[in-house]
Amino acid sequence: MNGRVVFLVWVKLIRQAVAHDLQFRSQAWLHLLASVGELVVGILPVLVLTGYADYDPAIAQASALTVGTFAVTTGLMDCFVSLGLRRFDLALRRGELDLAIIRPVPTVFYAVLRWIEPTELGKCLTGIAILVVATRVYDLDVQPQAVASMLVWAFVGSVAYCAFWADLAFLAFWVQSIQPINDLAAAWRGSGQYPRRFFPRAFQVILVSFAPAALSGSYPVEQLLEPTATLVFAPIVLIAACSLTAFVWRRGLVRYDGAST
Amino acid sequence: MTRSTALVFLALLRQEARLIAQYRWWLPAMQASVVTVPLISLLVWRGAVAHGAEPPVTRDYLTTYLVLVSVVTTLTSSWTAKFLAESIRSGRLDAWLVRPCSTHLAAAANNVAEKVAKLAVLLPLVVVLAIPFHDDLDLPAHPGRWLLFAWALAMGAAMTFSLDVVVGSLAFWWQDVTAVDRFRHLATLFLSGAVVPLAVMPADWGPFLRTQPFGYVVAFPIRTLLEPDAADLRAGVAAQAAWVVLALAAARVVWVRGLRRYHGAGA
Repeated sequence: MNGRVVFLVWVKLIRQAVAHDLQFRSQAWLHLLASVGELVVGILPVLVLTGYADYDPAIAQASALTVGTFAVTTGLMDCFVSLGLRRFDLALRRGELDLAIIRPVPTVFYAVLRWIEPTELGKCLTGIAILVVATRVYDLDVQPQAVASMLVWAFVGSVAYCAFWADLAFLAFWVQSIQPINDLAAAWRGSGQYPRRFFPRAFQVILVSFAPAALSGSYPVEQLLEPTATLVFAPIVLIAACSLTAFVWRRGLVRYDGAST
Repeated sequence: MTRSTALVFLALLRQEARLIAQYRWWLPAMQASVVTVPLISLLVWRGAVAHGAEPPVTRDYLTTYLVLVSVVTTLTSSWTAKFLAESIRSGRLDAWLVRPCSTHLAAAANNVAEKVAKLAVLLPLVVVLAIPFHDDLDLPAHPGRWLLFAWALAMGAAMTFSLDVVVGSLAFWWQDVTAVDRFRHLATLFLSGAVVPLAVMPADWGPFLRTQPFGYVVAFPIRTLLEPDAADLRAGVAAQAAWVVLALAAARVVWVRGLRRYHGAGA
């Protein structure tokens, strides 16, 4: 497949999504506000919790940076990936996947990544604002390599969590009507916005491996504040997560026999 | 409720039960997601307390609250708004308007049947969740408390269903009510105490949190079990009843006014 064609199709899909939101402006504004509202509702419990942990100023600092990072990564996920995954079960049952299979682009790309919600980027703006304010309030003095490590892990973590979510969503190939699994994936993702140290040890490991919610929130901030040598594992995590998803996708596609035939 | 209405309701319940049985994986997946948020809250709050955090409630209170919250959220929830708005927009409401029973009977039957099925799946999950923390669970033994809990649950469910009808009925005026529904869902999620117990919110928010309606959907029913002195619940019971009456009246007014604007799409 031609990468240029895939990129051009993706750009056209983004234009289509923006045109849709410009056409339904009032709804787009409301969804933008609701998107930011969802973010705030997610963040407030974290801030309430860390408000009672004022015995250690480092916790408040890490929490503010974590919710900011989490807002940016979830905004990107919800803009480009989440809606496609949420619709996947329905697409499979209605036979919409047939239309994706016959297109001259990778099926998984067209089936999942064609649903774009530009208004979700409001979370990214909010997250960036939180990060800027937190950086100034706590007067952070971070090294460039720590920032690079944070950015790499935030990217890898976002991809890894999308892959994990996709693994769950692709269970629709085997199990009828598993649409609520997306709510489970979205709910679990919320654990990534709490400082990892509050979780029991076993959960701390799960959050950076099997169900990597922390990789898109708290873990990149840990790497910013206390850099470690784990950056070498980032490509391994990326390849492992994507390979597993590719494996699940291929196995599932073999089972698919076209709902419209 | 007349006998014929009761028979229709039972028939709809059976229909819904058969429909739910067709989607065996739908319920476990959904209930797993319902348990996940309280599980995360439970773990981090206990973790924070273990690290030295000092919330204004005890660890037993937090544990009991967060174990019970998924059950209460499920039993007081409603998801009618989206379907009601869709039936108004598409004109499928016609089919119910010509029938000799309430237009909302099918939604009520769907609500009750799904809750029974959800509870059957949810309770084992909650028991599994409770086992590791059983030493910190503090539930009352007095049957009166459990009766009051059941009453508060029923009131909370009635209030949520009425608010859902209000939001869904906005489709008589607006083409798309999903954003409004999303806002209502957000307000309910945060202000009801479904994510964080209202008791641990900042003290300055206390007067607002005590007067707003959403707290009577989730937090108050749990409070009926956790409040040390039952006499302290009298004001809450009265306030919850007042909010329920107000929500029912609002649903009635919005529905009747909306129906006057309605033009059946199939006519």
